Amino acid sequence: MMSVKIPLPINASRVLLMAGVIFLIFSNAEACSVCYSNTEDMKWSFYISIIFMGLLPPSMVTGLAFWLYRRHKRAMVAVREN
Amino acid sequence: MHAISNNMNVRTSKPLLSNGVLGMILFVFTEVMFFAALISAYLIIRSNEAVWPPWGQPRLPVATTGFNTLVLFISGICLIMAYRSFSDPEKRKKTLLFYGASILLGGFFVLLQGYEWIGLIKFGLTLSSSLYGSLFYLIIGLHGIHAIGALIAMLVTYLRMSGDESRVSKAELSTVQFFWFFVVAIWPILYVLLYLV
Repeated sequence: MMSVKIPLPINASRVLLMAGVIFLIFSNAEACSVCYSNTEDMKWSFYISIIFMGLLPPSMVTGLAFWLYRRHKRAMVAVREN
Repeated sequence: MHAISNNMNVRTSKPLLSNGVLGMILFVFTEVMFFAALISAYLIIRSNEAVWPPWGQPRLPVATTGFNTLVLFISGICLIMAYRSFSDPEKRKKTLLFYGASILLGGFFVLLQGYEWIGLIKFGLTLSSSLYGSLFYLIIGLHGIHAIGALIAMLVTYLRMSGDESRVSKAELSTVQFFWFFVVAIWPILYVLLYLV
């Protein structure tokens, strides 16, 4: 059987090189383009907000799933007892 | 979501949650994200200010609102009591009493908040007076709108329940209860962030 090799538009070594250049050239990235301040307090409030907003949806969904699982388990025990 | 029983070769299924309750839970999730975004914006704006609250702006009534927070908590407890006695037909009066008390206390909370606002507006804290005023009225006002919405839903349920209890199912009561619990649970966070810290 003949295999056809499709060349990728970009190879792994170029991606690594680009990533390296990007990490080397930036000095202090602003949290957003419209931020009017570069204070330490503001930076920390951005970090905390990002972590908080990022963790909130998965924790709510996990909480709901766990609660439903416990209800299901209890319902199954009740069904078995009857 | 269903719990499935396979006893005696008879396959029965009972829903774990009613559609109404599941819908309300998902709605409350979106509301939590909405308030989280507002709190996040408030903290970021606040962290950029050297003095908070800004000079020349009136201070918020911490003690009165603290009392109001207590009233809201008691309202939530009354709703739990009403829900617990709902299943027992002999405790119908107790259910209505606790449910009514919960609505009255919730109404008192909204009215006292409104009364406080009148005072603050008289002292010069308005929506356009400063960033402080804008954020305060936006966040607390949105909570107030949610409280009013939940109270209307509770009042409709109460009126239906007082006429004929069988017209209201436990699932319906849970749906309204979830929304009121959200209003009660989010308030202490707002109180601490906007009034105390």
